[in-house]
Amino acid sequence: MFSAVKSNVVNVGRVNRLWLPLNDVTVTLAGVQSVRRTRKPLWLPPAKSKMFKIPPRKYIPEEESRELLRLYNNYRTQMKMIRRHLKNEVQRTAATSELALQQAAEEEAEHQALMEYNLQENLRVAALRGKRVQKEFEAEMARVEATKKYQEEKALLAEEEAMRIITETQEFAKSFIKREDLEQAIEAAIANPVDYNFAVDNEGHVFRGRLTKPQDTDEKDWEKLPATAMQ
Amino acid sequence: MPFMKGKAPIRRTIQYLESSRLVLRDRVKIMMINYNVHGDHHEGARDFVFWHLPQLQYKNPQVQVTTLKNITPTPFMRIFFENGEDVLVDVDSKSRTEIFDHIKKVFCKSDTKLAEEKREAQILDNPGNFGWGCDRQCICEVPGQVPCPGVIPLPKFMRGKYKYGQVDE
Repeated sequence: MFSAVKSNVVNVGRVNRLWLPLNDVTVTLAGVQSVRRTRKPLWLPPAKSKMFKIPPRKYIPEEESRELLRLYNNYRTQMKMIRRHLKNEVQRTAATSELALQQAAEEEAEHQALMEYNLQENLRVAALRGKRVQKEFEAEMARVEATKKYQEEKALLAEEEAMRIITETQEFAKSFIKREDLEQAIEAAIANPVDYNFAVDNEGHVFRGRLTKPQDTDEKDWEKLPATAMQ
Repeated sequence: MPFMKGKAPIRRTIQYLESSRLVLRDRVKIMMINYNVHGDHHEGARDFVFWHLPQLQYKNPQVQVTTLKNITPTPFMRIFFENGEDVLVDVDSKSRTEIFDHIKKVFCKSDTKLAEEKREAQILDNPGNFGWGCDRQCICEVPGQVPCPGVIPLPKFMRGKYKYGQVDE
């Protein structure tokens, strides 16, 4: 419920409480709340009954008033002291104070210097890394070259080996029996039988032939095995 | 008492962690370190991470410290500041001590500054304060002040329910 009259009553926790001048009183008339001010409005002139009224002047003894003044002065000085001290503290440590700004500027400068130093370090390390990578690359290339050379050498050797085998076989092929010479070769073979039999004695003398006996030849003519011949 | 588990468990002791001087500056917020698990030129970075990363994180709990492994051919560190700016630190073929010195010089608070801060922390303690972390828990403990209302009820003129009138409901 809102009243048209400006009210000094507020609702605090389901209970009506007075907000300003404690002299006001709420009056409920026919369910409508209104305010009756107990104090005379300031714009009204004094009442006729008060025309010859002299308001009493307060009398404070001199000593008492001096004492009061002394006490008040002390108190006020102390309060001012505290307030000023705190204000100075705040100003001194404020973020916008001279000292703080100076410190901030110094920090910035220091930071810039350190970043610069870091950059220089990075460049130096980059140079070293360049050299290292270069060396590794060269080592790799050398390794590749060496491998290639080795492969080439191997290929050369294999070729030589192949050539050798071919020539040998060619030589060997000359001794092959051709179809025309077949009968001739057979007759030659029959005429010259090869006897693979041989005997060996303890001293290493070899007696070739199936029917040879040691007595057939003199001792000094006996064939010796190559190994025993060396002794 | 049995041995602690793991490789070089001294890294996990309080004494080792506390003794570190790697307190990063206020403006450093994120620290990323990139290195490979194999490779000679990564050895310094590997050792630095192995020995000094726990200390770094212990002293700077508000800083994010990450490691990224086996991504790039050269090891480096990337540090991000408050204003979003980032800085690269090349640590290729550097030894552990070199990296440590460099980080300490460029990104950490200097020893003098640390000592100063420690001193300031001691001064800021106002002996007149009360509450948690102070000498007195409550002002009622001080002789000459109003005693604790939990022990002795306050006089009526100090209590709100009497000061603001009886409650009519």
